[in-house]
Amino acid sequence: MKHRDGKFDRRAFLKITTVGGAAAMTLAIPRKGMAEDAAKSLEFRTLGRTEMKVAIVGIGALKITEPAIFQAAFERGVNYVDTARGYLNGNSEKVVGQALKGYRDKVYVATKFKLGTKEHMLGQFEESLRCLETDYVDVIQVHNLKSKGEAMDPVAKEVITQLKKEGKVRYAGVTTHSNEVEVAQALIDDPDNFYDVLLIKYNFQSPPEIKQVIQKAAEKNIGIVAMKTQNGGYQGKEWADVSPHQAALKWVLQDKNVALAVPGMNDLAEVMEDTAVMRAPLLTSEEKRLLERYGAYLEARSCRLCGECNSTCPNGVDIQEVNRCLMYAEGYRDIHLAKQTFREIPAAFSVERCTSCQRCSAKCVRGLDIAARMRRAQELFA
Amino acid sequence: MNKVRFLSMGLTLAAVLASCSTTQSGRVESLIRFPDHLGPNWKTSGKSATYTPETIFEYIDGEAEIYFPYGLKRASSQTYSDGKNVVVADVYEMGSFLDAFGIFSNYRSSTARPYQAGAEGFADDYQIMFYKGPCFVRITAVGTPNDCAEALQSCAQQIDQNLKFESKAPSELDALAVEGINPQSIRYVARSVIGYPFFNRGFAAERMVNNGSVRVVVIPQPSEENAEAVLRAYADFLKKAGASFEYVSDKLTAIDPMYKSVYFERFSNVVVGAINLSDKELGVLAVKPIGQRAAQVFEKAG
Ligand code: SF4
Ligand code: SF4
Repeated sequence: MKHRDGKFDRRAFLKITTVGGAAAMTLAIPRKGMAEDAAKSLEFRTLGRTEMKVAIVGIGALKITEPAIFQAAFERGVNYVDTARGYLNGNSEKVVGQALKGYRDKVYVATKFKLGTKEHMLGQFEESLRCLETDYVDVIQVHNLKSKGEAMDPVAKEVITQLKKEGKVRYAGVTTHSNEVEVAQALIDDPDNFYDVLLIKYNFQSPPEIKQVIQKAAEKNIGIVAMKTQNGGYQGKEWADVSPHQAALKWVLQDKNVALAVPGMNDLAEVMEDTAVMRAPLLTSEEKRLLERYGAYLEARSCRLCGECNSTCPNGVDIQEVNRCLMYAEGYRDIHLAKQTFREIPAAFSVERCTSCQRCSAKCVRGLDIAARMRRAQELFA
Repeated sequence: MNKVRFLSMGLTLAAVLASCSTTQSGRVESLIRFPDHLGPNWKTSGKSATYTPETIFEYIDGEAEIYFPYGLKRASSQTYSDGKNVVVADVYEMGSFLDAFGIFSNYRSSTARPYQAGAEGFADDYQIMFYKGPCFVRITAVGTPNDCAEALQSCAQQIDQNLKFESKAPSELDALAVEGINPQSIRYVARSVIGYPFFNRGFAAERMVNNGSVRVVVIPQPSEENAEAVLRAYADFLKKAGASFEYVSDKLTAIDPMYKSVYFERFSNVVVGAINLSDKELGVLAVKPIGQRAAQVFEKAG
């Protein structure tokens, strides 16, 4: 397990810039012969009451479908991969299984099953082992819990206890995306201290209750793994040269109650961007200011799609729908979906009809400068 | 097929939808009508639910992110129960026929059995999946497989009948209709093919060449210039990585840091490559027939 603790030879990574389409992006790719001190510069934390020493950035497996890309992350020092039985009908676990060849003793593996009957949960788990091509997983998590009742489900506990006895599971965890405070509190209050790990949505825009419950859970030695660290952040033109993405990840890792974050990554560029944070996790004051501005930027642009403004436009512009297109383009960074949705707006309701009269801006329930947003849409989708 | 058709995926669908089911606000009505019953004792539990790209997280959580590059428009879901077991039918309306195939190709199972529904239907004890037109259909059972088998099949058959599209593969797949290609291995990737952002979208598949399986990728572009830029971006990446490579006359041979020995070639507006090769010649053999065919399929507009 040398590698897991960071005491191993790693490859060097060379920062390069390459051009893909119109946007320039920075990629760093592996190169042999990395200096020892680079490996030493990685930060590791203990995952709650487990014995696992995890690098502070792990990998959310869902979106990566190439084993080689996982391996690039492992070579960068990532030693924790989080997947699930349900992801892509088990295909995510299969890709992780291929990626683990030669790395299984160096990388911790977490997967998930859904609540169900005992047979169903055991069946799911055996399938996970088969697809991951391993005979044990480090953390089995009960997937997507929404209440105290689900968190304390006796059948799930019975199944995990059995799997631990059989040596197929080392630690138990849960994941939660909604009603997180209740689920986390259930783990904290559990007299059995049954669950060791909590995978929870946490980012710079999380409400204070989430930070507080994470602190309480950490005090009970529950290992905290943060997901959705970017909050699906918007990226506008004015942010092209900086990376609020890295700053958002650092914000989460500033909280020492968090053992590691497992951001979802799409490709090599994102692997390199996220793993770079492992070597410089401190949020600088400049980055703090950047995040503050970024948060304000999100607020100022986040249309709630309530539709209140639609009737205010004398020219019939379907403001809500145009804002939806902007959200696809800037929020999801999916210009394809944005343009496609934009093309479906009938000419009678098109943004081309906007004369910048400002009447709608006065009516927005969130005080957004709608007219400016309409101009942005004209620019973007022209 | 005209390449512009490929590159403006969804336009045709958008036109069809706009003509038949667009509301005043420009939004699109669901394409699916769910069956009322799945046989004796199997009834709907509650109303069907509809999710948009903004609300889909509430339903499938983080997995939603996989759907966005494929132009998710909406997802509809209906739950059925016989009082003991549950069947859930999900229909995802994607950006185009190709996008529906693309998302489906992420879910293909090598262990499931073929099932006669939509295009490329497959089934196992707990689920049936297929795609048809712009829809990806996923029907899942929670309960005892024997109790659910008939309901699962009834649901799949009725949804198949209700979706008024042809049960066939998108025409773009003609580009890969080449001897030796394993049709089950074809994936349409809407973002970062083989994990490289400069290969923005395209296909990946396995092809048998000289009794060995070779991994091939096909990256269609809007123009020859764009295809050249893609190959140049790849060469630039290799150069800065310190990889050994040769890039002459639209042909690129390299030892890629991720994919070992590779061979890529541009054919008109399409870049075709072979990766993880045991030798370069195998790459040339694997790539040529696909490139020639793909160049015809994604031919220049006008
Ligand atoms: S600014 Fe544009 S969208 Fe707003 S009311 Fe005036 S014309 Fe309509
Ligand atoms: S009133 Fe404001 S928040 Fe509501 S849809 Fe219009 S722009 Fe968006």
